[in-house]
Amino acid sequence: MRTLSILFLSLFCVLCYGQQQTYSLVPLPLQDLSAFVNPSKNWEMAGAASGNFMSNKVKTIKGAGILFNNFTEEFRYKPEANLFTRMEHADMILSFDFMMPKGSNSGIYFMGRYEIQLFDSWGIASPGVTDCGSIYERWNDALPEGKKGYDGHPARYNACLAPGLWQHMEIEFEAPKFESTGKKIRPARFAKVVLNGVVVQENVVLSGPTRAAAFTDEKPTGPLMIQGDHGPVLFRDIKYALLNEFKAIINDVQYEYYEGNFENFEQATPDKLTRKGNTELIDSRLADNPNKLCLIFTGKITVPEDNMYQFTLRKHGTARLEIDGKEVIERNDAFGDVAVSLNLTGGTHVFKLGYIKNFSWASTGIGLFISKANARPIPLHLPPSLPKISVTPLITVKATSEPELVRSFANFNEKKKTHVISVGDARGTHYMYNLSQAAILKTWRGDFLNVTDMWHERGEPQTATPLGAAISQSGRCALALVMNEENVLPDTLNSETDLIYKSLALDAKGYPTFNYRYKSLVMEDALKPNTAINGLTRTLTLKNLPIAEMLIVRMGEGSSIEEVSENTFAIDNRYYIQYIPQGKTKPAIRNSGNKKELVLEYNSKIGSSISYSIIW
Amino acid sequence: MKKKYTIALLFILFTLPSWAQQQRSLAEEDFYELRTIPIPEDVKLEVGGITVLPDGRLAVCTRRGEIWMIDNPYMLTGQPHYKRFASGLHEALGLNYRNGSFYTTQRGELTKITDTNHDGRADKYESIYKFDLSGNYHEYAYGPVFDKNGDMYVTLNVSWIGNGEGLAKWHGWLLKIKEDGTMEPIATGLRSPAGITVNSANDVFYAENQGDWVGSGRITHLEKGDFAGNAGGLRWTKESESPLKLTRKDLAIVDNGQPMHEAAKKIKELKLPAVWFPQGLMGISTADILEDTTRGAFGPFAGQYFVSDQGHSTVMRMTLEKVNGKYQGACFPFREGFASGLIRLRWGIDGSMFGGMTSRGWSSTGPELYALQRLVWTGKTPFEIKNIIAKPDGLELEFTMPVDKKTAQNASHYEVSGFTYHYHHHYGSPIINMENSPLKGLIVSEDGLKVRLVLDNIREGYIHEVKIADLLSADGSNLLHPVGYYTMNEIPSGEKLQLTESQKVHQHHAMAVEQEIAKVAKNKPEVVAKSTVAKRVTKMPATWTIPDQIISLGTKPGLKYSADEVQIKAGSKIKLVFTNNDDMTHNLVIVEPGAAREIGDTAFNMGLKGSQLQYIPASPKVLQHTNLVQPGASETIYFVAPTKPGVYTYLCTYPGHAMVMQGKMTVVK
Repeated sequence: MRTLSILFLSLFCVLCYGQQQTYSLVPLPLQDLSAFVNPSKNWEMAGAASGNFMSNKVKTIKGAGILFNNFTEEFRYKPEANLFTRMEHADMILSFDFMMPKGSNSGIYFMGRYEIQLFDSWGIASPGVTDCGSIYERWNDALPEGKKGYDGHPARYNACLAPGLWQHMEIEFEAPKFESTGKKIRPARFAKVVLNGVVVQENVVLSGPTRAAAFTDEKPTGPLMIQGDHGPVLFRDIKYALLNEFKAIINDVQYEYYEGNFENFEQATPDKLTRKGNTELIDSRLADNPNKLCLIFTGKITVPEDNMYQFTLRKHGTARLEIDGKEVIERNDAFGDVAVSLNLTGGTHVFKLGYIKNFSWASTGIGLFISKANARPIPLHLPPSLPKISVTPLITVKATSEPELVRSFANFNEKKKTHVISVGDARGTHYMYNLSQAAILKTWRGDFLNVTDMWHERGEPQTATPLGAAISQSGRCALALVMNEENVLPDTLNSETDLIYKSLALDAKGYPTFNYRYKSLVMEDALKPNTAINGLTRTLTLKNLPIAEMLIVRMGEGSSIEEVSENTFAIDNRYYIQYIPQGKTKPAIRNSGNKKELVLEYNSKIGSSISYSIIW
Repeated sequence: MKKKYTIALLFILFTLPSWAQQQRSLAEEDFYELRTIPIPEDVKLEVGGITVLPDGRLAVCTRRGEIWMIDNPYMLTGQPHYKRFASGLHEALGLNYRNGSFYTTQRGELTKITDTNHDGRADKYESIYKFDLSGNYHEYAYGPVFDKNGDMYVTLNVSWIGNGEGLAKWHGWLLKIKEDGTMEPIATGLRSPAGITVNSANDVFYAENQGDWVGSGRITHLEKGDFAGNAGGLRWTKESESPLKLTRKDLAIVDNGQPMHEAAKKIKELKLPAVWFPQGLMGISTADILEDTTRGAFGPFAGQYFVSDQGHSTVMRMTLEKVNGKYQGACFPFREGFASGLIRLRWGIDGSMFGGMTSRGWSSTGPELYALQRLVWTGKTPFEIKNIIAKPDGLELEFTMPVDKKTAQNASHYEVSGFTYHYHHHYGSPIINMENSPLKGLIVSEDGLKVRLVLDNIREGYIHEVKIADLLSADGSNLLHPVGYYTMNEIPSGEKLQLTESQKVHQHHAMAVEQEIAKVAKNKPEVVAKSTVAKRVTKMPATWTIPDQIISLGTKPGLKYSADEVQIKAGSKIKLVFTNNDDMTHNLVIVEPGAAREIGDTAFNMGLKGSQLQYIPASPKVLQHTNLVQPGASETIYFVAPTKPGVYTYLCTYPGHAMVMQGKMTVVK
């Protein structure tokens, strides 16, 4: 079926058309508090921080890089405890990490007015307007009880992690727009709020400032305000981009159309010229034959000032771009975007774009965008010059009354794993597991699994992705047989000769146990949701230990591992491992190269099984 | 008990007095009835495999990785009942049942699934053999099927990276796997081997889809060390377990478009298909193979094979014989009209045929995304070419019922021609080297069940199309499917017939036929048509007094013509009035049999020039056409009907319409 390959390729190119807009974010300096206006004394700098999911306190070490609201009761509900940036913004992208102890509360007010709530919502099943990632309500005391709060917007999902862990948020905000008379012509909007990788708000229009805003009016610009009068909170790695308005004028666009099976532009000689003329913008439809074409577009582009500008070329076929007579891009691979950055002086420049297509197995498409840093790109082509992008429907798997299992491919650390199983639990604690390595890849809570890339059309990627905020685990086998304790533990085990996946068995409730042979060792790996700790408990049952080798159980690895309470370890402040002790055994933190490992050397006192929990 | 009732019922139907004084000619559904097994709304039964349990239940595994157990699938009373038996499989495309366990292939593994606590739900999934994967979506795994020893066969698809490539180990291969997990690679050269079967002689066959190195769909008998044609799996012949050492480099010398049987003379491992299924003529994606082991419960084809086509939503029929120890045989149309992409066929316990379907990602003629149906023999015997057998000097046709000797003895009713495909790394192939096999002699057997065709120009390695027109059975029925394709890998040795004078087809007879045709086509279009005949004549030719037939065709919303089929007489003068009642622009283009898709695609790719040219491709396969007709307008064209009988197509070539907006123009003598 010839058409099959065509379908496949056209799908492929749709994938290339995902929004590829990138912004260059700059850090908000956190060496000291100089980025903020008159900070009150609850705000401090710290060099390191850690917490515990059971504690309403955090531990900090003096230093710089972490902004710490060392909240005490004296600051409660004191507006001066809030923190304002010197930076003022309109449209912006903001990205930051934050950490909260148990039960804490804070928020980020864009322009000092529109709040995205920060809250310890760990374990909440269905988030409300006061939960993390929600747009807080507006408030009117004049209204009757129960109606005072309005226009709040709960987060779509609870994507919150456990107290004491670093969490990540990315927000795209659009400021309200005003005429010169001051009349508001467009309301403020949260274009996107992403909490721990999960989109929790998208294109929400704001009717006005939310509760406890620093200002009651609306303005074209304003500072960020961080709420400091509700509870302790820490921030690091705050980065932002202030978005620019950008206008470029394109005119005098002309085209030449050559028909033929061209391999390169030199072959498009004047005798092959079919037609030429004017066109509004670049347009692939000017070719009569969509598969045997060479189109040459020339035109003028006027940019407002001396600056660095980026040209992005998107094409099906060969394309060449010249700016002011100089070739800046030539590409003859079939698909893909190519970008080039150029310093242009303010004023008018000449562009020349050549496009060749000599195959029929994909649709015609040529597009050219110009953009400058942190501005939305401007197309130099008419929209139909590129194939239409269709939005695929979401396909998910839900775990309802019993555990749900899905085998798939999955991306992990930028590699595709092929023998992966995801296990979803009705109570909302899920994990993804690499059957080839007996290794946990990811854990998450909330909704279970996005399988659109498996079950929409042919499902070319064939990958499943978590629907909740997923925590990546090491992705390595928890067991390692070594000759002595000096041996470096292996990264991967040979899944054909050493670690053999034998079977999975479902227990009475439908939870799977994975059975392996690791050399002579017989291993059962069982993971179960543990509601008491809002996490997963893993039990490794071992039989037939090899006599000559030493068995190391590797529970976690990272650049920092800290015991935050007895037998509870924070791994990079991303998740906790809680060892469930057998007798007096206790795992050790040890160095391995430039990272740390949480390991337990197996001995017969431990018994036939080892258990630990993962908490996040 | 229920089973007995149905059988009893069938007997009653059998013995009823024949009501064969037909008012209309019988169609496929008169002989084989298609029954739909309804699927609950919340079950996405994208069938990957089906297996029939001895207790009457049906088990279906799906592309979404589930196994559904279906109670009462024969629907002797009420609705079928669905229960999920297993889940969490990765695109399971094959299912089998043996000794209380299920066996399935998922992308990464051959898996044995058991309900150890007998609660009707699987609780143990054993990995019998792990398949290596690169992560390409095209790495499908099919099977297993069991041989007589209880060993399993599975096939692994090549990856698709613009061409077929065995990126991960043993992809592009047929593997034999024992229950204990030991694996033996058997054969390679497989591209998209969706169907495998072990027949009652314990021989393994697989069905292949058109693609690179594969000119058309086909079925190949695989033995240890065979190379079935696609280069993708050759990457792994370097492994020590490989039973063949052929490399891609070895293959390069034959990658020049010669016919496959010519290439096979130079590459000894290259295995010729037992039966080619000509692309577009029979199907577009050969899928499952099912040997008729019903001993007559499914009709008169016991011992033959049924082959499904996923894209065309049809079941085809295949016959095999052994010539010089090697399989070859014929294929025939059998039953169309399935609801979705027909990927799996299995026998029910009553000898009816279950069809499991999915079309996601590969659209099919049957419009549903997935479906489950059952094909039931009504007890009536269709008048069919039952078999085609190779003879040293031609072919022998066997029929399901005695032929009417008078029509059977008319040599002009038979037409045999041979053709084949390129063998090359390109995707697919046009039909090449087409030549007629003139009929020299004709013998109708005493019992009327066989017709022996003595032919010239029978060519080894070629597919021979046998077309029969106007043949009646002794009881006056028309042939249900008047065509078959015989793959003549080898011409059997043996004595050629000494024809008696009356058995010879005389030159003057053939001449007479030609003259007859010429007489019908008074203005000899076959001479003119090739060069100068106008394809759009909007005024009645001056030489005509009146048209022989006036056809009026309109349009309906949803890309349809007002009639799906028109019938005209070969060589007659036709006036066709085309009125566009739709709200979109349409044209009407009459094309050669089998050319609709090509013309539709060509028109689609004409670009801006297309509309100026009315989306009429410059192709000899376009016979007649109207221009684009705007909504509410009409156009009249005049033409002489083709002299060659057959099923021509009329279609709208306006981009995007051609696939669905089609009708059949049947030209009869």
